[in-house]
This record gives sequence, structure tokens and C-alpha cells, in this order.
Amino acid sequence: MGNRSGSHAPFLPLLHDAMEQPGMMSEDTLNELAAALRIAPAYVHQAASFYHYSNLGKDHLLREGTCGGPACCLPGVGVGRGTPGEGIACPGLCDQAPASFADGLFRGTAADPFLPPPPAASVDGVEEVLFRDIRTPGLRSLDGYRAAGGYAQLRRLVETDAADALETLRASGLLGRGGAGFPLAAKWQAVRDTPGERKYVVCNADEGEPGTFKDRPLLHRNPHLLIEAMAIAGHIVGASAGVIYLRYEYPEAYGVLNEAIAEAEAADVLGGFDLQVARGLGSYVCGEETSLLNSLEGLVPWPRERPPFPTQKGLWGLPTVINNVETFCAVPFILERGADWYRSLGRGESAGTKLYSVSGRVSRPGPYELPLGATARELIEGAGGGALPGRTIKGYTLGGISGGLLAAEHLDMPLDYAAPRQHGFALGSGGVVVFDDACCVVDLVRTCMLFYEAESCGKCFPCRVGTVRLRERLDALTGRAEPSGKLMDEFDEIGSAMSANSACGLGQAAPLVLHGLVRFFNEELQAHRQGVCPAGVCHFL
Amino acid sequence: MSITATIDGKSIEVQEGESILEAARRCGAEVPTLCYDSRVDPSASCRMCVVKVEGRRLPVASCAHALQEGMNVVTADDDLEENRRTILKLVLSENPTEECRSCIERGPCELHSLAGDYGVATDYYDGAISGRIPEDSNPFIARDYSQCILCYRCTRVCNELEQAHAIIPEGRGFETNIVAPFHESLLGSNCTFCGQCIQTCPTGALMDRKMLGKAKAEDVTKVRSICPFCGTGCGIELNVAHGEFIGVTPDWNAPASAGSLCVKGQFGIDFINSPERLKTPLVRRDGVLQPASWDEALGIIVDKFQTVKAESGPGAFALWSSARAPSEGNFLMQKLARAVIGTNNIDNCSRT
Ligand SMILES: Cc1cc2nc3c(=O)[nH]c(=O)nc-3n(C[C@H](O)[C@H](O)[C@H](O)COP(=O)(O)O)c2cc1C
Ligand code: SF4
Ligand code: SF4
Ligand code: SF4
Ligand code: SF4
Repeated sequence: MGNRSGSHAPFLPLLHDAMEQPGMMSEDTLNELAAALRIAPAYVHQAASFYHYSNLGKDHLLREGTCGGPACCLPGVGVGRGTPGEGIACPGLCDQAPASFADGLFRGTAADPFLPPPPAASVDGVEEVLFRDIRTPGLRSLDGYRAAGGYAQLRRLVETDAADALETLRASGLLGRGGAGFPLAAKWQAVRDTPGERKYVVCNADEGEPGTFKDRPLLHRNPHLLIEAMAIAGHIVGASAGVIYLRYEYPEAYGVLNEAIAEAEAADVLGGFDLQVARGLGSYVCGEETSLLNSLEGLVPWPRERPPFPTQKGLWGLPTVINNVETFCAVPFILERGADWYRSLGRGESAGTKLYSVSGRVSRPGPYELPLGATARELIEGAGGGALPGRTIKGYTLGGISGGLLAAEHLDMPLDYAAPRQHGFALGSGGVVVFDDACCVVDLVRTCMLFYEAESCGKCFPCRVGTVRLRERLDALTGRAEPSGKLMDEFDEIGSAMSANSACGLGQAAPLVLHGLVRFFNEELQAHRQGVCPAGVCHFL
Repeated sequence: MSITATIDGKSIEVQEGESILEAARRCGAEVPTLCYDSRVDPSASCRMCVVKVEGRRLPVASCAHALQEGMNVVTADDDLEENRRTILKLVLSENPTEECRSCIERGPCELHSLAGDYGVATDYYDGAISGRIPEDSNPFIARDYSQCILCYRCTRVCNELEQAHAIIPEGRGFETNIVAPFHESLLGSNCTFCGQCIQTCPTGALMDRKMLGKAKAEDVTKVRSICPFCGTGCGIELNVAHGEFIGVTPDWNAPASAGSLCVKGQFGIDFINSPERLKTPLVRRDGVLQPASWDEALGIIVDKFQTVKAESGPGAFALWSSARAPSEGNFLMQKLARAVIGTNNIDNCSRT
């Protein structure tokens, strides 16, 4: 096992080291790991047995598989119809479906999985910001990034007043892009105002939400942008250390980020800010910010109760900024060009641009940067190239899948933070999975529920059991099991207990796709109760 | 510092830091819980104790949040009760039990009592079950996770309170299992067989194997006593059925132990029924130990002590007192050593 004594959060690096040994993790290896971490072996065991890709408590390390996610299971894309227990969790290659995993790498159909297509000219008012330089060759290197103006804002900040920079960020109206839409400046202010000799800046690069792959190009193509932004955060809030929590499914980005950090440190551009990368091991719930912190600390990655919020007690109980990759990456641009410029990029009340991900049954799936508040139609029909030849779009999911599910009649809804709320839905990560007349919406919702079931951490009763019970009822509707009479009441009861009582956003949001199904596709749902699948996808027993 | 808040319309003053749950219960609110054990950190898992707090979008787990100044809490209304009922139906469906071992032998378990209160004892959902029964022939703890609801009380008690770190939840979600890492049986694990996991379990998943099948709950009488094994003096209840001792449960109100026991108090008291138990002193006559009176036995001891003291002096004696004896007994023992025999060679087993 390597020496990780300088690590801000040694658990994940040590666990990765331990996994280098073949076969199931032995008791001796686990004890060694626990000794290195100074934690009781039982706790390490609990934590390590949690992850999809760890080899503890499992006979063999998961080394290959195809994606069982919502985009990859649509007809004509991947396997067409998922089977329980089969398929890896969505690895964020939905625009290149079907995705698969072999030899430690995740691949879709594209030759270069990390380069976003330029948005179509048919979407008005497109001024790319985060993706402005991303297609420039050599941007990944320090020289390339500096040639695009990089590190100027960090340098300037060191010479000027951090409080002014925070005011600019506040005036820009930048909201968190990871899902919850919390104002960035309020979070940074809270950490700045919390006294503490040590504080942390953490980047949430877990991007586990199915149908979401917008951080992917930034992590692979523009690592210095994120590094600069995190160092800026450190400077503003008074933190000298940072950790990027990177999902297991982006192994290439691990190399890219480490190389970029080493280059930046060698050139001494970070002003002493000590940044490290920790790789996850396969778990969607680790994207929930408090699970993420537990994961870094080597505890079982169940979410924490809040308050206290991470701004007060975050990593190792210290004040911590946690933001999404995209949120961080907007910061240097705002500091460069000002709050008014940034605000004006959004539609209506919305400020700035948003990285949307569109996948599923569209002609040009991909991550696109559009004004925040662009409509679903602009994303799906404009940037995404619209329906596949000869097909009709039937609807789309929101927030990846965790924001809800809407029908084609809602294509003109703005994809901003406010509009989806009229349906009780949320913009979330800004991912959209499109389905058309060849797809069965009931089967799609079942695929989503299978994902939640597999990712439910098991901490709380309503989600741990509720996701399974809902998926079983969707199994019955899609011809995989015997249906029961009380279906609609059960959907209602279980969905409401999960939304209200679950301990974290996973269980609270899991019923939203089902709400969309019941509200907007009731006819298709009722047909299934009679043993008919209008799209011809489901086969009944 | 004390703070004032409102619970179910009643104003209440509490010390800062008290949980909403504890405060509500003191106010007389019946807030249901399944994963709560006041001795360990709340895990906020069962979500039965959620209450409405004015200004919060979603209900709050009352076990895990302190009451705050000015908070306005509602512990029960139609939504809360409906969702609690649904959670019970979900959790009952996870590992439905036709015959709960606890309800039959220990008295109504927390799960089935609540299920009864909410009228869902048999009205739960259909679906797959998650529990399993490990191969575990250990003589003390009967583990059957087909009655487990994954409340994580046993694992928190074992890790946080006992610090034994024997059992832990392994895996995730519906597939989570309670395991002793790398061991099917607790025998090879870190388990000290304190039995505390059995005592906190709100279902029949963990049972005292020695008591299993011995009696029905309604035939058991509990007799308060003190564990005789060591000077800690933990409070125990001797469980008696049909005139016979069948096992021990902790006395939760005992000042010295408040429900904690070790393997000796929990599982070692069955010497009461042992045929090998000594009931009179034994004296060796012609090489064979034979029953004798106390007068005869003590007479022999006095004679021999006097002989040794006359031949070799008091320094030839060393007295070793027992941790099982009370303080008064230990005091008398050192009096015997110093004043009667005349030696300072006196010690106590609990010092080593
Ligand atoms: C189940 C679940 C998964 C999440 N996954 C992610 C994720 O992969 N990436 C992310 O940035 N935020 C994720 N979030 C949101 C985070 O909890 C948190 O709100 C976010 O990282 C804050 O950063 P932001 O303010 O910049 O958005 C997730 C939330 C939940 C409930
Ligand atoms: S809602 Fe689901 S994922 Fe979140 S804590 Fe509960 S069981 Fe875990
Ligand atoms: S008997 Fe005690 S040590 Fe053994 S598993 Fe139970 S709580 Fe842990
Ligand atoms: S064995 Fe009992 S205490 Fe342990 S998790 Fe299961 S139900 Fe809870
Ligand atoms: S239960 Fe254990 S610790 Fe308590 S008095 Fe008995 S022997 Fe001593």
C-alpha cells in the first residue's frame, strides 16, 4: 500500500491502492488499510463494501458491462429493454450510447468522447462561455490555457480585494449548477464568515446523474479552468486546500487533472493552494454533497443530516465550500467580464449560460451550452437536431432523470430554475433524455427506478424499500411480473412517503419520473394495465 | 442555556441541544420510532419520527435535530400519519414474519406493536424480501435476518457503545446485510457476546439463544437482581418461567449499568441450574472431597493458619481478595490480613 500521508482525504486513494491486488479483498489487506487510516476495520469494511467497483465482499471485481441506464436502454440505442440486475450504472456517455465498460475504461460509440459538438446556429443568442475555448487544441496544457487568458483572474485577485470579487459573483446571479441551484456567493460568503484556521474547497465532479455529461468535457479538455476557479474560491473564503471528487467512470480525467495540477504547481501559479484529486468507486449517492464528504473521510457514504451544512461543518468537520464543476468554471469568466455581462447572457430573469445535456432519441445528442432559460425545444430540436428521421418526439426527462418527466406538449417550457416548479419538477443538472413514438414511457420509467433501486444507499426505510416496491410494480406493468389491482393507490402512497420522508434527494426525487408518467402518459399507462404496450416494446407474460 | 419552542401548540422550555424527539416525548407526544436508541447517535433511518417544522419545506427527522429557539413543531397530522403508515407497510413488506419470535417469547416487539397501532399488521405490500439467515451456531445469539428491518441499532450499539466493532452493515440499499466482516459466525469475530445487540433489536431478528423456545412471553416473570460476577454490580432481571430460571435481561433502570451487561451477566447466570453447583463446603477426607459443615471447614482453616503462622511467621501469608465481594467484604479481608494475621500481603484481583 502506498504512502498517502500528505493526502487531505487518504481513504479513497488507499482503497484504490488496495484494489490493485487480485481477487476479493482479504482480511489482511483490509486491516492494513484500517491501520493506515486509524479507523476500526469494521468501519472501513462497511465503507469499502459499498461501492460498485470495489472488490470487498464480492467475489470478483466488476471489470466489464454494458450500461443499464435510461438513454442506453431506449429502443434502437442499446439493449433496448433492460433486465433487472444487468448493466452498469450510467457512466455519463449517454450521447454516445450504447456505453460499455471493459479493461478499466468506459466507452461509447464516439472516437473522442470528450469533445462537445458546437451548438447549432439555429439556437439564438448563443454565446458560449465555458465551452468558448474547449475546441482549441492544446487547451489542456498550462501554456494552452494561458494563451486563452487563463490564470489572469487568480493573479489579479491576489493583488486586489477578495470582498470585491465576492460582490461581483453575487451581482452575477450565479446559481449552483449541480442540481439544487443554491446561490454561489451566499455559500462562499458563509464559509468566508465562518472562523477557522483550516477550511476546504471541494469540487463535486461525481456527475452520476443519468443523462448528464456536461462536466465531462470540462474535466477532460479544460482542467486548468477548474483548477484556477478552485484556487480563486480558496482565496476568497480563506481555504488553502482543495479536493476534486472525481467519479470512477472518468478515469482519463484523473490523469488529466493530476497532470494539470502538477504543471500548475511547478509553475507556481496557484499561490500555495494545495489541490488534490480523489477518485470515487462507483456510487451515485456520493454526488450528494454530504455523502461525498463521508466518502472522502472513509465513512460509509450515507448522507448526513443537515444542519449543520458543509459551510459550517464540512470535510473533517471544517468549513467547506462544495460546488459543481460547471459552477466553479463560470467564476473566472464572471470575474473577467463582469456581473452585468454574465447576467445578460441568460433569458428573462435567469443569469448566465447553462451546460445542458441532451441524449436519447435525437439526431445530435451531446452537451451544449445555451442561455439559461432556453426552452426544451431549443435544446432538443435546435442544438440536439430534433427527432430521428421519421419519428415523433413523445416527451423528455428533466434534471437528468431526477427532475421529472414531461410530454411533447411541454417542449416550450424554459429550462430554467423556476418553470419546472409549476409541475413540482426541477431543472436539476440540466440533462434531458428524449423519447419518441418508438419508445415505451412505462419501460423508461422502470429503467429509471431500477437505477434508483441500485443506487439507494440503504440508510433510510422509505427509499431503501420504496424504490424496490415501485420498480416491482413497474415490472408488472411492463410484462415482467404479475400485475396487482391496487397499483395506482400504491404508486401514490409509496411515492408520497418517499418524497416527504426520505433522508436525501435521491429518495425524494425518485418518484418524480413516476409522477410524470401518471400525469402526462396515463393513457399509455392504463393500456399497459390491460396488457397492451402501444409502442410494442413490452412483451406480456 | 434554555430555549423556548412550541410543540403541538404547547409552549415548552428545554435546555439547548435537546432533540425535538426527546422534548416532544416529554411533552407527552407519542412520536413513533424504530431506529432510535438514546444511547447512541441517531441514524435518522426509519423516518417514522419525522415532524413538521414551520418554515421547513420537508418534514424533519426529530431524533437528529435539536429544538431551536422559537421553533414551531407539529408531531402528528394526517400527512405525517399517512406517510408513517406507508413506511410501516414498506418495512413490514421487506421481511414479513408470520410468527415473530420476539412477540411470542419476549413480548410485543417494537415493529409489530407499531404495526398494530397503525392497523397495518397484515396489510402490507407484496414484493421481494431482503433478509437472510447466516450459518451461525454460536451458543449465545440466534440471528435471523429474515426478521430484520435494517434499523442499524445493533451495529451502532456494537460499534459506538460497546466499541466491539463486531458487526456492520455490508453492501448497499435493499441488499444491505448485517455481517461480522469475514465471518459467517460471530464466534470467529470481534464479538464479546455482551448481548447488547439483542437487547436493542426492535424485531425478532436477534434473540437470546439460551432462552429460545423456553417459554411464552406471558409466562415469564422478571425478578430484579444484581449480577454476582464482578464488582461493577450491573442490574439484571432474572427471567423465571414455571418456577425455573430461563435467562437474563438487563435492568434498564439499574444505576450502575443502565441496561449494559457483559457476557458474564448476560449469558453466564445459568449456573443457577447447574448440577455441578456447590451447596456446602467440601473437605478432603482420605483423598476424596466430601460435603462438610461450615464449622468443620472453618475449623480446619483456622488450625492450618495457626500452624503456618507459628512455623513460618505472618510473612508467609498473602491474601487475595475478590472483585466480586462488596467493598465492605474487601475491607474486612484487609482487616483479617493486617490485624488478625499480621501481614501487609493483601491485594485484590481487580488490581491486576
Ligand atoms: C442523489 C444526489 C446526487 C447528486 N449528484 C451530484 C453530482 O453528481 N454532481 C453535482 O455537482 N451535484 C450533485 N448533487 C447535488 C449536490 O448535493 C450539491 O447540491 C451540489 O454539489 C452543490 O454544488 P452547486 O451549488 O455548485 O450545484 C447530487 C444531489 C443528490 C441528492
Ligand atoms: S433517500 Fe435513499 S439514498 Fe438518500 S439516504 Fe435514504 S436510502 Fe439513502
Ligand atoms: S453481542 Fe455485543 S459484541 Fe457481539 S455483536 Fe452483539 S453488541 Fe456486538
Ligand atoms: S438485527 Fe435487529 S437491530 Fe439489527 S438492524 Fe436488524 S432489526 Fe435492527
Ligand atoms: S454483567 Fe459483567 S460487568 Fe456487569 S456486573 Fe456482571 S460481570 Fe460485571
